Amino acid sequence: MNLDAAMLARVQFAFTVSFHIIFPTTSIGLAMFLTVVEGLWLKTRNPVYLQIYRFWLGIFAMAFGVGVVTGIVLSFEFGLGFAHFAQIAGPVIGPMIALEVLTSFFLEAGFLGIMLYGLRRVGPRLHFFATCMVALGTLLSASWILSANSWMQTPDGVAMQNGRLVVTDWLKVIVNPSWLYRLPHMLTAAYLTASFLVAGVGAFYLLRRKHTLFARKSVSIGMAFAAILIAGQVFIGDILYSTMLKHQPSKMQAAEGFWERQSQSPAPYYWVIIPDQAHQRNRVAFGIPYLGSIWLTHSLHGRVEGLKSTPRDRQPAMGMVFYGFRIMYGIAILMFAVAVASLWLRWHGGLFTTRWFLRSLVIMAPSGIVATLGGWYLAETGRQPWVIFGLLRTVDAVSPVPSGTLLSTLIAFIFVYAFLMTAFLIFVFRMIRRGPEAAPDHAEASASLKNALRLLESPTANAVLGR
Amino acid sequence: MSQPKPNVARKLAGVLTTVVIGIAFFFAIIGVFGLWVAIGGLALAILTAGVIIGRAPEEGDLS
Amino acid sequence: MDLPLLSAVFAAFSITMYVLLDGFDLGVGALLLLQPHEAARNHMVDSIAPTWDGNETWLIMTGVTLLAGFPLAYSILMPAFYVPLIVMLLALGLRGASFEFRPQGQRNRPSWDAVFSVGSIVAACTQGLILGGLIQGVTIRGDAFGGSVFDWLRPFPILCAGSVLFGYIVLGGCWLYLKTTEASRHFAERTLWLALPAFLMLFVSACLTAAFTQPEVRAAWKTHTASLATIVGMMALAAIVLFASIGKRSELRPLVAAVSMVGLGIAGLALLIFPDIIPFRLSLWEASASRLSHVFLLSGAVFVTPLVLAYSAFAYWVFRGKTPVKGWEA
Repeated sequence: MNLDAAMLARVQFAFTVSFHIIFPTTSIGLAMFLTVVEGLWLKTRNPVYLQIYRFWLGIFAMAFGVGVVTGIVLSFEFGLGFAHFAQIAGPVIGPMIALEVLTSFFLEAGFLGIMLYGLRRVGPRLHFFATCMVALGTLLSASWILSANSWMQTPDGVAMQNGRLVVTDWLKVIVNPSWLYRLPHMLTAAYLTASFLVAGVGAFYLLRRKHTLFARKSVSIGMAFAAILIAGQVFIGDILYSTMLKHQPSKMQAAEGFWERQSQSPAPYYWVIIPDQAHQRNRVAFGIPYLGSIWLTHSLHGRVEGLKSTPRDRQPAMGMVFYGFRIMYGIAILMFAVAVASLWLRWHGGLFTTRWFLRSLVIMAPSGIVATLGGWYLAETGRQPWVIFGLLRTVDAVSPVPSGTLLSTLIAFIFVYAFLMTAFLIFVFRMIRRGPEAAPDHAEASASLKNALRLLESPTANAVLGR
Repeated sequence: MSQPKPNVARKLAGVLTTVVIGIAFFFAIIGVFGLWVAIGGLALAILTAGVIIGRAPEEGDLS
Repeated sequence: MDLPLLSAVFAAFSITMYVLLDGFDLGVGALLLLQPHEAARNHMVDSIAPTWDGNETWLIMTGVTLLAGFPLAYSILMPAFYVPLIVMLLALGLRGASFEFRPQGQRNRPSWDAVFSVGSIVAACTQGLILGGLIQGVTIRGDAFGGSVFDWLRPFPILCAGSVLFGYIVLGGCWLYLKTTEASRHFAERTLWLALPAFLMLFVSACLTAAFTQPEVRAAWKTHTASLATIVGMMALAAIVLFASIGKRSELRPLVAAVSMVGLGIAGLALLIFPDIIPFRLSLWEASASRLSHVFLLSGAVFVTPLVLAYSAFAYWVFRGKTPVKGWEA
């Protein structure tokens, strides 16, 4: 790898955006999970649902907070690392990002405070409404961001005038060809992530025979969602696959690991390759025979298109794309297997007692996050060498900043983010160790604007408000 | 709920059936047999999961 | 309708809100390092706890408005101020994190307070460096940044960094004077006696240096002599009022005077550089995106900004009056 400015800018953006996406994925998923759990509580009035709600609310609040802090960096980084991209694409993606900022501020200002601190103050029904609005807000935020990113994958609704992009049709920009499939794919990924986190923590307690009631409900709800979501996700993923095959054949060619224009027949399904981009071949390739033909061409002997079908100067680097895809898809298969096993065990009444299953749930707890990262690596590295597919090359988008400066800021980012991640994990593990009974009525983190509502409950506030 | 220890062979048969059904569903949903089979497979999978989750012993019960 | 102008007004409004609001809480953060007593530090942090993160949103809003409405300016300014911007973002991030983590344990609190304070100081200084770099002039080649990424590392921007830091400290001191009691209020008083003269000296020398080093500033003075002189006169008046009200009975007057002083400073600066979006280099119309981008951006802003303002006002109203010595929840 050559450490030139373009590569460093890409590595820096990749690092900061990869770190960032972990937190929104978690908070989008948990917001929906919290909505469901609170709904169940309102319906059944079973206190264990409220306990589950309170436990995950604290983790949701911290994930949301780190997501906001790392998101601020990204809104400047478009220009810091990729000034020419910002100049070209600013008029198109800028307004979408502005609306995302406004949406999330609106959500934070209006409903997050009630959600975090207001249960006793506003009563359960209004509080449930606030939770729903927060879940809706995270969904809207995700829609804007996915719309902006999908536009970079499949640009539409713009015209080039004097070297600048001009929007001709906002509807086409927002509802661009891949957004309709990528948004549900990302949302389902976030919901799956939350399901496996919840089930994993439940299984952890069950293995230690602690907080049994809480743990059983967690495993049960988590796995119920996972079982339904993973089936849907595999389906959406397949539809998205055919969409991207149409719009970005080069990405899918790289994702499957074949070089020749037409692969051998029958085509294997590769799991491990060592690609050699310079010689346009694989040094090593292991796969399952026939499976490539069956999965990709839906026949026993079909041939798969390889990366040589794309001119060399338009090829992405195969290794990153391939492994991003394999990590995501491999985890999806594991999730599917766990979901099937959960249904089988549920039918036979062993869902909460089968130790190998609970252990696998604990291991799978972060799987949603890893799969989401894999999917984003597939999407973003597969789009290369373009930053806006077919319109602007990544190398032409880079800022005039020397590589030494880029390298030092990259190192600074790594240190600061490692510190943030450590602190976040310490607090999450502390919450898990203390258990659900120790979870407070309201979230502890966030000494901020949201406290306005917490204050309204306190005696001081009553004095201040003259009550 | 203490159940009589199931016969090992029957249990194995159950596991194998589950595995085969799972793989069949997976292949169907990723579209190996065409889009319409995929949609049908997805609907059937969600329905089956729904029925099992709905009929399973009450979730929070202590055995 | 002149949509680029409206977008520019929105950006100017956002950055003014940011400087006035985040200014005082960065100032309070900076002062934390000078306060040796932990109880007093807690009191100081409590006074800004309810509102600080809402204040930061205005900064993001400014950046995103530039990206959406003035992509050319955004793409020139970001690389030009690459180093101070990244340092500022990291400092603000660490500051936010230490805010979240300092209540988690007594033992580590002094270290978190130090991180908080240094983060605030660094963020204030980098903002001053950027301001100085802007007035000094950004080198543009074609439609990209053409200078060195260390152009801001010169005496004039460093002078501006000092002015901004002390300006924020004055705002922070006035905020503490309004919001705290007893020891912390005396601390605020002593701070103001030192910080205000320091700020005025730095500010005046920065203005003079600007006039000497940047011919465009002199030109702007010639065209707007009357209005600029009025603004400077009013600033001087605000400074005198501020001086006179330190230690007096009215606790709100210093803050009002300080906010007017800084607000007038921003107004003067706006007059100096209008209609440029990159001072003396690029006008807002030259840098503007196409019409539809402004329509989209402004319709969002028109809809949401009143809500944001209303909620912020509500939060400030809820937390009006003195910060309790034992914290808001005691």
